[in-house]
Amino acid sequence: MIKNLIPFIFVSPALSLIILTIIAPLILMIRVSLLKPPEGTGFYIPDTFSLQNYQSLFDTYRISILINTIIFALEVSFLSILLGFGFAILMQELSNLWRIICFTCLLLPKFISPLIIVFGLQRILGSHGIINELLIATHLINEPLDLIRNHFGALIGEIYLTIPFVTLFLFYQLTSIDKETHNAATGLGASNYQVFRKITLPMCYPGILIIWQLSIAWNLGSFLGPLLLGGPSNTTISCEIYHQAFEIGNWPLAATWGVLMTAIIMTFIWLPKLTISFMFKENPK
Amino acid sequence: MGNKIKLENLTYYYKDKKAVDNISLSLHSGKFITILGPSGCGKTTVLKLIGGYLSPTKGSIFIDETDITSSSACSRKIGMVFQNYALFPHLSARKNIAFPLEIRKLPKNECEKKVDAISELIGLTQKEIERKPSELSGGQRQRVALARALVFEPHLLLLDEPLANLDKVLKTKLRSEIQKLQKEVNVTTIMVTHDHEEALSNSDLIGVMDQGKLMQVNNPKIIYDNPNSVFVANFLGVTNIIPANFFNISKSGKAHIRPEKIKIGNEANECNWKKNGIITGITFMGADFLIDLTTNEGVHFKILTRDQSSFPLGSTITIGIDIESIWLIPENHKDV
Repeated sequence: MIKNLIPFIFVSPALSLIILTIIAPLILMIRVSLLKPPEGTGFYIPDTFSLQNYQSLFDTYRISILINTIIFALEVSFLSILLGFGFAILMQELSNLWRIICFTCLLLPKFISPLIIVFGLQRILGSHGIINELLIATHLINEPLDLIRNHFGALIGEIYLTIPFVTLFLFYQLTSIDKETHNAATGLGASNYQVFRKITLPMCYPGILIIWQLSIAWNLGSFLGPLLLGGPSNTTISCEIYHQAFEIGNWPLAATWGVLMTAIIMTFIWLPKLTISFMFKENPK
Repeated sequence: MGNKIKLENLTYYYKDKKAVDNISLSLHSGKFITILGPSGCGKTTVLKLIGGYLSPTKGSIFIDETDITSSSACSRKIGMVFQNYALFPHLSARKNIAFPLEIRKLPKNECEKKVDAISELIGLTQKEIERKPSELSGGQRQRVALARALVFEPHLLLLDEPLANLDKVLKTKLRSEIQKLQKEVNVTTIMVTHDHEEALSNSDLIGVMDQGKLMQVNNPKIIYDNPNSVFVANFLGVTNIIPANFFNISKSGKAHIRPEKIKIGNEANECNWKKNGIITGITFMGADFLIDLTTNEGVHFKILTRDQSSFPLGSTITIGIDIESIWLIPENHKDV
């Protein structure tokens, strides 16, 4: 009897940490989402129960936020993987010294707060930023380009935050491919493009699928890019949660958004997993 | 199939080191040459140069009369089997074998026909070639790699230590299969190995390499009995290198005799050169015994014999050699 308890005793610190930091807040969030929104003062009306917050999500503006968030996450993930994969291939071809330099450039921004990075991007891309000043100075344009406060700005911000992870992951995926495989394909008559198309890329599919899934999970929660570099039409769920919780003070609605976002992220994590297990059903190895 | 291959003064520098040093070689169509040498002697580099994966610092490579030195690996039409097979893990064995045909845009049914034909020839069943490489055994992977290298009827087949990763039984089996296959397909073949038994049993020609240099090229019998240097003599198996003046056949230089050519006991009496010595060691080799013997003059001999029961350790026996079977190693080669 006691013997059976021993494993539980050993995992109890980890288990209690998970319960304390993930499960308890989640339950709390769900409970808050079922409260009535405040009237006048306070953040919510205690000891109430209603589904009114969930019902209120079905309005064109809020649905558009939801769709916008998903599309934005897909866009950022797609572009990050496209650019990151290209960058990873390039890095593989470089000499050791240049590879280290690339790694440093890639990872250094990750040591500082993303907030500072996004502010930095604001300075660089703004109407009086380096890029616009440079373009005006060289008379390529007369009016500053709108690089921020729009969809483009939001994309740049989030891609910049996502790309280091994607590149690193795909770089290691690429280096795990035996160089001889490449040689073998070439020797059998494949051009460089054919080697990439028929060997390198298919061998990277599992890795791409995993990073695609992770990247979507991250970017469904994108906040800083859309908030600081995007325009009003780029509002994501995270921005809306911030707005509801800290600017309006409607905690139940913010919690409802939170529940919805958790559900969406979980769906997007499980979806590829199901696809993968379906794809490799015939070959369990 | 079956093309001539010629290497002319092939040289390759890896950083500042000469990995391949001025190698010239000519091979007739349909022949099987084994390049034999210790690890790091540059033998795999030679294959990579021929395959086009490296470009030589100096020298040229000809297939028939065409100079292919500067053509790319993908246009050379040379089949290569890599040491680790380098199969494409995401493709089934069938797709692996069909790869060179698909690249050449062969019609699908023709592709299938060729893959089936080569698989049958190489001894892969229909069931096996539908599997992924990870689901095949070492020997089967080896066969798939071989089939893939042969299916597009290459000018030349390169084998880089093809049997190194297999166990002894499978090694011997595949060794003779490769040899048979090579004659059947009649493809000019260059194999690289560090295993002298493999080289001796398989090849029409053996080239022994050391430190980037091709030391000797000849047929296995001559390489084994009449090596042109101490290095070659030692690399082809256990041997005796004795100062030549010991046999009174030459004032200087080194004499070479294989341990199985030395006779002991009654057989020794019929030989025209005899000496007494003490047995200092006996090693059981399976089929034979290797006897270490020291003569009264302090010269060491190694002798291979079928039966050692009448020659106990420490006993004094007579050894006999036919003077004609002693090979004098030419002195114009620098030996270490």
